[in-house]
Parts: sequence; structure tokens; C-alpha cells
Amino acid sequence: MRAVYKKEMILFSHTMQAYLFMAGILLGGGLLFSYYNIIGKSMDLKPVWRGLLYIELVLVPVLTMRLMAGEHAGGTDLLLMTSPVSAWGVTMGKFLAALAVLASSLGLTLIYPLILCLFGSPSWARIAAGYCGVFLLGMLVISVGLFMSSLVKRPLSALLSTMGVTLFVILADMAATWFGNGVISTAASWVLPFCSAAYFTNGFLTVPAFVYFISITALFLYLTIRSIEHAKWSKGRRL
Amino acid sequence: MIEARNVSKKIGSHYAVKDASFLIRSGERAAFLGRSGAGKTTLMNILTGYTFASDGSVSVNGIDMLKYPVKAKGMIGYLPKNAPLYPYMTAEEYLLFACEIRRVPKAVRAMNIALAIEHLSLHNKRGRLIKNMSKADRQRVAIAGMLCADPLVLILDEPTAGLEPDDVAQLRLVLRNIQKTMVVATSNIQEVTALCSRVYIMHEGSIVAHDAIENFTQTAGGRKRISVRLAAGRSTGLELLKNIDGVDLVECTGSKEPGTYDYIVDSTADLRSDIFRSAAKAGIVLLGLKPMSVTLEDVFYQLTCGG
Repeated sequence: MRAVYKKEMILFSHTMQAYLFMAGILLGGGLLFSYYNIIGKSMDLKPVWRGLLYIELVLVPVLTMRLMAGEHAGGTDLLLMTSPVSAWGVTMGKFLAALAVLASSLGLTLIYPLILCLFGSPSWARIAAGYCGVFLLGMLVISVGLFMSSLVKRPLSALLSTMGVTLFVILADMAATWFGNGVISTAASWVLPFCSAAYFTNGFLTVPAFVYFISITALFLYLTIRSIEHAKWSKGRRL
Repeated sequence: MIEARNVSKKIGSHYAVKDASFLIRSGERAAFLGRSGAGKTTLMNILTGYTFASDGSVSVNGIDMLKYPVKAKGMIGYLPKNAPLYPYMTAEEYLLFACEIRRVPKAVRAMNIALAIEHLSLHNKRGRLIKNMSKADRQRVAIAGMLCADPLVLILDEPTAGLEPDDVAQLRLVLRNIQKTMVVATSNIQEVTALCSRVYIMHEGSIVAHDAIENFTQTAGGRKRISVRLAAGRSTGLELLKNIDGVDLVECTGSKEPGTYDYIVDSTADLRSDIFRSAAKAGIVLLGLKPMSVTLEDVFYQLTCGG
């Protein structure tokens, strides 16, 4: 797992994806912070976090597109799968590498609350909760992207399929709000990640929401491992 | 060292590999020779654990690939076809990765990498991105990556495919000097004779022949092999042929025509006229008398083209 993690970090440092992702996070976060907090003179970072949630849904597929599909496209899955490393090790190594890029990008945005400290006393508990929500959603989308990448042969297919899933999530979230406080809206709040992330961005660290993110992430990581194992019993390569 | 028992790989209704069984001992260098589509790469993928067989088993040093894949894979160094590498890594980064993923102890990594670089003449290229290297250099990096993990067995799939003749010669020299158990999958007969001592000929997924290479090829003594068809009983034909002076070995290969039997006669001289005269003297009708080619190339074409 460690070898795969290190390899992915080297490849992230030598290719554009991680830099594009970081640039997108910093650009989006910076614009939102400038508009709501600097110009709007607000101490509340909730609009920045809400904006980062949507930015993650668009940019995380860029980060994950190459993770498994790139190996298939380049033929390097042969190297990986004939090495003494389990499917679990491969999956977790890649997942943790993408998570490290996400954490680094979000870490750079910690300058926003530091700037706010110059003008007042923001609640660090709320800030921690907000960043936790953004990080957990990003982690979930990484696991989805990794799974989609394991199903296809080309990075572009992985990008489009993951973006399809995230677009569905955005549209479903928007549709759920149209139904007000009815049954559909309640059901949606149990399923859609935005609703769980909202707890964090509103400043609440709730156990059910935390469990939601961890369990859905674990589910997609498990599905990724099964996808890799399944390939060995078929042709060994994706169609 | 590597044992395959009744290995088959079914894809849909088609057998990519059918009932392959063999044992490659420690120190042996074996080649799997076959045309494109014969099943060589599929078999190599099964041996290395990239894909699992539909039937049968593979074990490496007694360790079952299906039950303990991580342990079995740790003993194999694999050079896949076209040597896939990570283009955005430097040669040194790749070799470090190869050592790490194969769990080479930290204390010996630097030494193994230095030896591999020395062996493959990569001194001036260690800091170069792989995507900026020539095909031959990429092949060298791939082989170096395989070697620096110090595996027990090397498995190479078409190691010199697509290379210039000079690079082919250099690479073959490097591979010849590696003192390890080696399995080479190739469609190049010169590669077989240059690198290996034993050959398995594959055709349509099956191993159709296997032997030491010297038993396939004509030696300096000029062994001859003649195919004979006699219209006589099996024991009568065998006795007739064995009694001819100069015959080393007679083997009855069965009957393809009613009332006749086919034989293969091994000798060091051309005994066709002696066989003809002996049959005529004994009153036995000689229906077929043909010299059989004994070079590896001819055997390969006969077995894979039916000619």
C-alpha cells in the first residue's frame, strides 16, 4: 500500500491533475471568500464551504480519473496486479494519495479563517466542523471516482462517468429542496451527501452524518476492491 | 519452481489456453513458442497472477497462485509485452518503486538498484523521465525494475519485440548473462535458441510439443528422421524397420489408413533407399516414405500450420 501511495504522489507531482484540482479549489474558495467575507464583511465561512462542496463535485473527478483507468490505458495494471500487493493495498494506496491531495488543497484554504482572525474572533469549533464536512464529502466523491475509474478503460470515460454521478447528486439535491419538507425531502436527506454535509457546514459535528460519510466511502472502496478482483477472473482487462 | 497442472482459460465459448501442464525447474530456461493468438500471453498472465485460470492450478516454488497470490507473486519478476512503464516517472523513481512494491529490504535497495543500473547500462539515464526515453531504453528500465527486486523466476513476454536489430542483440546478451530461472514467451525462433534450453510449442491454446531444443534441432552429427507408411501389421512393420542397419529408433505413430501403419525412423544417415529395398525384399507394400524436417523452425511450422 505504501509503495502504491508513494507512486501516486510522484505521479500527482509530475502531472497536471493535482495542480488543476488545487488551482480550482483555491480559485473557487478565494472568489467566494473575497465576495462574502472581505467585500461582504462577514465572519461566517458557510458560503465558502457550501461553494467548496459544489467545486469538489466538479473537480474531484479530475483527480480520480486516472487512478485506475490510467493504469488500464497505459498497460501498467499488468505491473501492479502482478506485484505482491493485494487489491486492498492498491485501492487504499490510490485512495489515500487522492485524499492527501484533497487535504493539502483544503489546508491551503485555512488562510481564510486566519485572515478572519485579523478582524475578529471566529469560532474555531465551527471552522473545524465546516472543514470536516467539506473534507468528508470530498473523501466520499474520491471513493466514488475511484470505483468508476476501476470500471472503465480510459481516463476520459472515468471522468465523464464520475461527473455523471456527481451531476445526478447536484440535481437530486436541487429537486429535493423543491419538495419542501415532505416525505421525498426527508428521504433525500438520508441519502444525499449534501444534506449530511450541511450539518457540518452549519457547525454541527453529528455522529449519524459522520457515520454516513464513512460508511458510503467504505462501500465504494469495497466495490472498487471487488471490481479489481473480478477482473482477474474474466479477461483481466476492461472492455 | 513453476508448475502448471491442467491450466485452462475459457473466454466465452473459446479456450485461450487449454489443458496446459508443465514443470519448469530451478535454473531452467524455457521458451513458450507460438504464433500470435496461440495463448502465450494469456498463459503468462495466468502464471504471474494477473488473471486466474478457469481450470487447473499454478504454483511457484510449491505456493499456489490462487490460494496465496501475494506470496507467489513475490517470487516472480514479470516483463509484460511492450514493457509498460509510468511515463511521468524518472528511471530512478521507477526502480525505487519496483523495490518498494516488491518489499526489497531498505538496507539493500540502493545496492540492488545500483547493480541493475550497472547491468543495463542506465547510468546516464537514471534521472530522465521515462516518456523521454527510446523504446530500447524503456525496455532496459523495465528489465532493471524486474532485476532489482531479485526475484526467483523471471517471466518475459516478447522481450525484444519492436526493437532495432542492434538493441535486440544487446538485450539478448544481457538476458543470456542473467543466471536465473527464466520463462520467455515469444513468436521469434531465434530468441528461443538464443535464450533458452527448453521449448514448449503452443498452438490454438494448447501445448502441442515440448522438448529440449537440441532434440528438436539437427545437431552437427546430422540426425535424420523419416516418416514411413507400410501396408502391414504393426509388429511386422516394427520388426522390418528395426532390423535395418543404421536405424537408431523406430516409433509407431498409429494408423491413418485402414490396413496400414505409420512409423517414424530416427537415424544418422539417410536410410530411405535401405527402407525401400527391405520392404520390397519382404514383400511389404511401401505406401509412404518422406524425410521429416528436424529443425525447430520446421517442426514449429509443421505443428502450427499442419504442413
